[in-house]
Amino acid sequence: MELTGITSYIIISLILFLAGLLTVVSKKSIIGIFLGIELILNSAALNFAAFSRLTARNLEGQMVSMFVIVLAAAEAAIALALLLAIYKRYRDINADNLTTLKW
Amino acid sequence: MNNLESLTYFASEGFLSVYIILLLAASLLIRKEQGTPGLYYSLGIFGLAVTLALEIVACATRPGSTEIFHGLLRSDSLGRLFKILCLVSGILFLLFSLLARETSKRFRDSMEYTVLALSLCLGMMLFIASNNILMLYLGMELLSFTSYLLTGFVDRDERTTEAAVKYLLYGAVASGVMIYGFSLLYGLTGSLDFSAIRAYLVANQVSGSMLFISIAFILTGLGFKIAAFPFHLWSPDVYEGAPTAFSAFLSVGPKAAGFAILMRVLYQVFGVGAQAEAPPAAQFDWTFTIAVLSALTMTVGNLAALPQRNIKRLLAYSSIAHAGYALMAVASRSAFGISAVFFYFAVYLLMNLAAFLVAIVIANEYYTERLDGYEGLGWKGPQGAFLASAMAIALFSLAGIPPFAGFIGKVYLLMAVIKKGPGLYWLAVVAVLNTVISLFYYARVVKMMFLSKRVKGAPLSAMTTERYVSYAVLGVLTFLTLLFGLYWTPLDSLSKLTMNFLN
Repeated sequence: MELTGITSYIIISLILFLAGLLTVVSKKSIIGIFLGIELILNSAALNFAAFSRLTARNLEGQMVSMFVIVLAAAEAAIALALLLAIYKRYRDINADNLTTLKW
Repeated sequence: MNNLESLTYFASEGFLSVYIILLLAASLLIRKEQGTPGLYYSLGIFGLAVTLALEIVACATRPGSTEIFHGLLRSDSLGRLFKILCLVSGILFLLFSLLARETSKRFRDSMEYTVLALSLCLGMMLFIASNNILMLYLGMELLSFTSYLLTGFVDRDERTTEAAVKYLLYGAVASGVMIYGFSLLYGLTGSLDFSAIRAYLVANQVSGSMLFISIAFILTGLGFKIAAFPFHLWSPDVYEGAPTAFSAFLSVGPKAAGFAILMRVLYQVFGVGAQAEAPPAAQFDWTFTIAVLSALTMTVGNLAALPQRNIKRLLAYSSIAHAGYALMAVASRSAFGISAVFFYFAVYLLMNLAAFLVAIVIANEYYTERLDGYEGLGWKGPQGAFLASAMAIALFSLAGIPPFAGFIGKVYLLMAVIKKGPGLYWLAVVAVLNTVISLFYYARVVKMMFLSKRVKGAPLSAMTTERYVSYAVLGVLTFLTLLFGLYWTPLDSLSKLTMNFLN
């Protein structure tokens, strides 16, 4: 079996994606949830790069994966700013604190 | 079309980008104590007004549909009209920010607030005009990131930061899932360009689980933007926590942008109706999926609105329900459906923003967002009577009662569904039943304002300049709601223009 085929890339990115979703659902710390989101974004970036090399045969996909990485960094900056605000208020970054707004 | 030629089609976005940078540079020269919210908001409104004017000129002089910047963006009437709608809501957003207490007096960061608001509008315009997966993703993230920041911008109480964090987490997951879906679509078709994807799907009769997974994931991301049923959970929390002016904007501008791009993706990539060039296997029949989503969205939105006691939360659930109504026309999968969605959003802008403006005035006066604050409002002198009548007109229009514009909007949406044929009649029935449910909670607010003789709280304070401005804006919005309920031909001919993007 050839290990560098497109199938292995799809499987790896799928595993990354599912691991990311699982992390988002199960983590209590907001930082943990955010790491899960990064995994999801990276699985998409991996997909783009792999498809660009192996099926589409153009460079557009690689370009998108660069943009995904940049936007993930921007998102992290915003998330950390908001986390600081949360930390100042609760002295904690546990997502279970966020219960004021419901129904 | 190459980059240099494209610039002529890009005048409004280009101007706005330059204006944002200039504003940012100019603000460095103004000392913090000198820059008042009034100054910055008027600069922001000026910038958006010029952008709007450029957009209207472009809409009148360049009617055709053209791909610009090597196919990254598309200049067509659907995009242009939705951009105009979003810019109008953006201007009203800054105006409302000036009128709301939390973002006007002693608000020290109005410069950053204005720049973020303008960037949000730019993001919306690029999002609506995108013709390429990359551009769609960039536009959506520019729109989302600035929204997260503006939600948590005024550090009022614990609700604000909580709303912003929830918005960020839900939004980031939704956009991550969406870009994963797009990556699968790219893998299947080998292109990022919508028309090239479409051509590939038609030529190669692509079908199978990969395509369905990718469509489901893409719908997740776009469904989040318009707050459709399984992805609506963020919206009531964010509307309650965000500054009221921003909640008002969020329920109109970004939602309309989300609808524009949803229709673009569904129609341009996955096809409209039974077109001759498309063999059946290449068609993913999304009509039923969207119809079910639409029915669930309106039902969940209306049922959840029933027990609400906070006006912003009530309007949030009502706006979820309205997204459900508009999805109905998207499901009809016809050119008429597109124009019905535009028409609906145009009247929705008027009535929903009028309701939010009353909420802002009341919150300024009584420091409350709870419905008790509205008790006996109609009997508090001429001011109270005016506010209460404007609110009543807005709410009845939202419910879809005949003499108001909301009724005409709903008629168009239902017509789009009925024209589709018997297959979707059930959806029309669900929508009519939902209107009845919604009437209950809208009428309850009106009942509190007029039928409760027990006048609670202090009388309204004396008129100020600010108050005159709010009443004038409220008067205009209410007048237009009434006018388009009686004479809607101009709006109708405008919305018909959106159809020609299909040719």
